[in-house]
Amino acid sequence: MRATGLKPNTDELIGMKVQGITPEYVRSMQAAGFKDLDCDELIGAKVQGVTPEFIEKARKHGFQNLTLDKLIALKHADIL
Amino acid sequence: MNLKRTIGLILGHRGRNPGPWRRLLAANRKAATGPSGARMFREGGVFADGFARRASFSYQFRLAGERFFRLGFFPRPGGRKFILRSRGTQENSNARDFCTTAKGAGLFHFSADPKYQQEMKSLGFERIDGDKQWAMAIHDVSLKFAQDIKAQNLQGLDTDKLIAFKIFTV
Repeated sequence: MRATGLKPNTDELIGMKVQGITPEYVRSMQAAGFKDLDCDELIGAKVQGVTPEFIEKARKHGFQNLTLDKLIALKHADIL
Repeated sequence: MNLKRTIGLILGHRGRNPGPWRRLLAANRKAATGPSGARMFREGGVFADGFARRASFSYQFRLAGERFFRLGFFPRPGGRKFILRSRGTQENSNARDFCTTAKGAGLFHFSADPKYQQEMKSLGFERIDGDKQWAMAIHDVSLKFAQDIKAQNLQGLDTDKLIAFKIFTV
């Protein structure tokens, strides 16, 4: 996990493990343009079902300048 | 239920397919006379049930389908009740296998290993009382595991976190 650039503490490690956040998920989110997400943001994204596929889908629909909050809002709106 | 069926249930069936009570009693007899009884060894100590001492054991388990059976003995002071997780079937004739592979709740006595506390202290994990050592043994927090996690230089690492890491297989 540290190889992805994250420096999680013990609580964050447990939280990420519980939510199923793997280094692959972190890397895929980074590859999707979200390079500066911290552990809590990654946990939030994973919990809300924000995946690299969802991000790609949002972009294909014309949504630009996406932030994590906007992606979560889109996810909640359930319009994609 | 007629008389014949009742007697059959109590005594078990004779022949190739012994009844559940007969199998149960045979397993208990074997365990009670065996060299070790049901024990679970951990670095923090040893969990031993009453089979080794022919006393202090209560168990609820099923032998077939949804039929539950319960055996009770006098509780032994200092014992602790906990659930043994299922890893297989209950078809073992040996109670030692039964206790490590089947479901059940038993009264076990935990004998703490004093070396464990000292060695954990040398790793920087202090204030391990009896309850904590019991919890660490239950979750199999070994010295090697503690060393490996300690080597990662994580912030906020303590014995509770070690247990949590084990529970969540971090």
